[in-house]
Amino acid sequence: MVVFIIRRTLMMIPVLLGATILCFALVDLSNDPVQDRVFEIEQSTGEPVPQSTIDALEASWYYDRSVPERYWIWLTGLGDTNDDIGLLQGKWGPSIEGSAMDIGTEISSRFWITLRLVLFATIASIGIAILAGVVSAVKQYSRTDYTLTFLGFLFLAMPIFWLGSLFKEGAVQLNKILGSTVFQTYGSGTTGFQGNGWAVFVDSLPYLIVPTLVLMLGGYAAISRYQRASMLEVMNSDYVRLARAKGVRNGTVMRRHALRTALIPVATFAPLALSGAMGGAMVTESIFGWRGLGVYSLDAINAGDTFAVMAYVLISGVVVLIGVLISDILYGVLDPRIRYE
Amino acid sequence: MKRHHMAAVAAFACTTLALAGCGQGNASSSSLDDCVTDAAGCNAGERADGGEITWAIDAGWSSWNQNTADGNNAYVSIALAGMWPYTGQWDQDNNFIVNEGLFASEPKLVSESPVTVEYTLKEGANWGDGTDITVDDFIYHWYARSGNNDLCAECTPATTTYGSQVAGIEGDGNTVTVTYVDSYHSAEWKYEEVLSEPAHIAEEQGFDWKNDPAAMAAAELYFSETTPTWTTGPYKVASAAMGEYVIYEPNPDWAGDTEVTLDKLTFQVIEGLDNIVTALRNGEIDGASPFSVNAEAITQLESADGLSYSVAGGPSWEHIDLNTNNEFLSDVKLRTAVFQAIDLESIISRTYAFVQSDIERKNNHLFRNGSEYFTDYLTSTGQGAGDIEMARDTLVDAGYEWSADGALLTPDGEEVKLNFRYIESRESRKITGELTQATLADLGIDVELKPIPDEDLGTVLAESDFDMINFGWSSDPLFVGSASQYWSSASGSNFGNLNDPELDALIEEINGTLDMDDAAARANEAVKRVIEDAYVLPIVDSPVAVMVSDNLVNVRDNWASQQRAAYNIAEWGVADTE
Repeated sequence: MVVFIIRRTLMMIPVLLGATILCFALVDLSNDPVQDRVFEIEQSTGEPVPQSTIDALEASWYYDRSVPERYWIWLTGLGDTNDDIGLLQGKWGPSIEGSAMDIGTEISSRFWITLRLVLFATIASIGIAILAGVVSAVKQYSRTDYTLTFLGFLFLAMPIFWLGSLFKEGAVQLNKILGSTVFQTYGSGTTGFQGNGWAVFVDSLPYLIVPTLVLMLGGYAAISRYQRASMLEVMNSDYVRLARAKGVRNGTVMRRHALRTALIPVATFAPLALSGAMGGAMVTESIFGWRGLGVYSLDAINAGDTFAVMAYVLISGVVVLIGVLISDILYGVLDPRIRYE
Repeated sequence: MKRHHMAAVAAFACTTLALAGCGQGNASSSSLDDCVTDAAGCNAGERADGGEITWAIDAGWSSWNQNTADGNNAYVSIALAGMWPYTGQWDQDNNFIVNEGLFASEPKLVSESPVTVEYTLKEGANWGDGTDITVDDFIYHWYARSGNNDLCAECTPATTTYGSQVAGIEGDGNTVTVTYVDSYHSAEWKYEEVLSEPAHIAEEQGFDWKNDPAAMAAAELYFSETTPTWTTGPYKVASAAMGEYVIYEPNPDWAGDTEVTLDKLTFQVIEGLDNIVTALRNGEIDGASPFSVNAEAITQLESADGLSYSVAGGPSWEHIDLNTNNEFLSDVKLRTAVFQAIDLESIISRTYAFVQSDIERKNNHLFRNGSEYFTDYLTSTGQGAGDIEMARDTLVDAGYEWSADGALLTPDGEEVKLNFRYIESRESRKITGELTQATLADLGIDVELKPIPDEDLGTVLAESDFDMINFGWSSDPLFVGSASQYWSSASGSNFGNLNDPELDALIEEINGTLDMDDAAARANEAVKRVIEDAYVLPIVDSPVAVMVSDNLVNVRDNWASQQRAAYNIAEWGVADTE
């Protein structure tokens, strides 16, 4: 097992490296943030931007170098730098948003904001999906099964941006009926709120409910279909039939024999779902104004903030690869037929 | 039956009286509806003592220092409206109002050669920490914006138009005198920004900014990254997060005369017009003056309870530019014909009029319709009139012909083909392109529409990668530098590469007088010339909206200020209903 983990971890390195090269080239070649910034400043001041300022911007963002040179500096920090770049030295590089916006600080603080949103949504979606999948399987081809199947496909078919907007408007109307702003539609907490972890969590509840619901319903549908298929397969297996033939009560058969085995695909899928939801939160965060990792990456891509995009690619890449690794390990732990030699 | 009728009348009368009573209780003497006729005085009313306002800003910021390239944008300007040491504010009627918390009087011109301006600080003008504003603060600002490495080493000022022109600054008590270099002759000497960051705090942080250019740069960086605890305005920052929010509380040490009534004022970033309108309808915020508005938002606001809004021409103006380096558009006759063929009224009625029903076509590049300096040189030229016959005549006179299938041919027999560019997220610009394409097809010109991803506009402009392009410029009542920025052959913002020595000479003259009226007359001469060059066709002042909860008073939009509705932040309040 240990050898397997080490081998898989080592395999992540070239995968991550390949992803960063591809993303760096895509972002870097499709933008010229210096020109865009100059235009923005001219719009703001109504005056030409001094050439010295343009030169300084280019130098501070390393846009006075070639693309390969910029990538090499970002990765290694070797060469003539401003001592603010070099992934291998623990430096993420300068953000075009300015010196006050440290990429490392932004990424780490926003990671937890996204995780808060995604964790609740994923746990809730998996819980509901298991329940719906099991009920659907047990009551196969019943009205309940058809209803759950319809809802599953409905939420699966709905684009998340549309579902989000729909729920947001629903929250506004519900508030109107209640005569109080129970559900907040923008942000992840009261502006400027300070407190300990629990206080922050309680404060965030009115902001958490609607986006969690949206993210949850978006993720629930696929897992519930997995669970239904898996449950049906197990229920029709020989050992379940044997248990029934021996006179074991139906509830015990379902709980101890069928469900335990049927949970294996979902349990192994869960880490992937969590890491996938981290990426999928981009749209939900944008709609509900959560300043998480998704919105950060979106803003960075739009602004052509190459080093910020790279940080996101790296973090999300690591999260996905860890998700895949945990998923693979869980297969071995839960299914005795699989052994890692 | 009769009794029922009487009862109904009585009930109606009671209801009317009750409503009238409510109306009297609401001390707001006017509403945002009055902004059409009284832009500077609408929505005025008595303020209650206390209250809180949460105001949305439609984008974040990444620096607290407006001197720098990173920190000079409208959003940070709004966020810092409560504490920043502005020289003054333009109101909606083009009147300049000197900052009452800083200056005892308007700046005075004490010498014309070299230009020397005297500022008289108000008694007690301070930084909110017990330290008075002094001549050192003026000098700090000069160094920060000088663009001179001997004063601020490797600094990145957003603009050096003021700082590079200062020859020296001296102080004597409450009087500070700024002396400009001999070549400085701007009619806008009165409106120069002369303060930004507190010099004493730079010194407290150990920056020897006066003697060491590197320390000066380090101080600028410090102010970029540090949440300002100092203030010269009616409010001081209670808490803030970069690019997210600023929470203000009243500044008890403010030297201004206007009484601040709010207990708390929050500026919160809410990105996206849809999100702003939803948050406003949901009661999460009390108002906003976003930099764009669309018909859908207006529809939502119309049907919302307890909200008011007003739409008017904003600080940005839309225009179509032609690239004079294009093989076809290098001919002024073709450019003129293209502009004559474009039907601006048709474009406006299918785009901007959906948002602002009373919107007018813009007829001067530098002065808004209604400005005292406004002169219409455009209409008589037929540019923007959509007159195909006039355009054809212009082309025929210049030797152009048409092929058998109706394509326009140059005098050399080449078929004229152009592209039209616009950023893809702006529906109005897309429609403008489509209508221009259709109109120019009548003239035999094949126009290809080429949308631009939003983030690439700056690059496309800088590389002049367009034949025709629709984009916007920001404007304010200042005009002396604008003509030079837009059209001077030496300007980096002359994106269509117009090179007209006669226009360059006219632009030079604008900056050669200290008299505003004279400068405006010279600016109008430049406008006239650029129309003759058929280089830029103004469309409209882009409509923007201010949207507020009904219980706010003295909150109104101001196109002329970069802070928009926050220009009179000290006067904001919650309506006194007692």
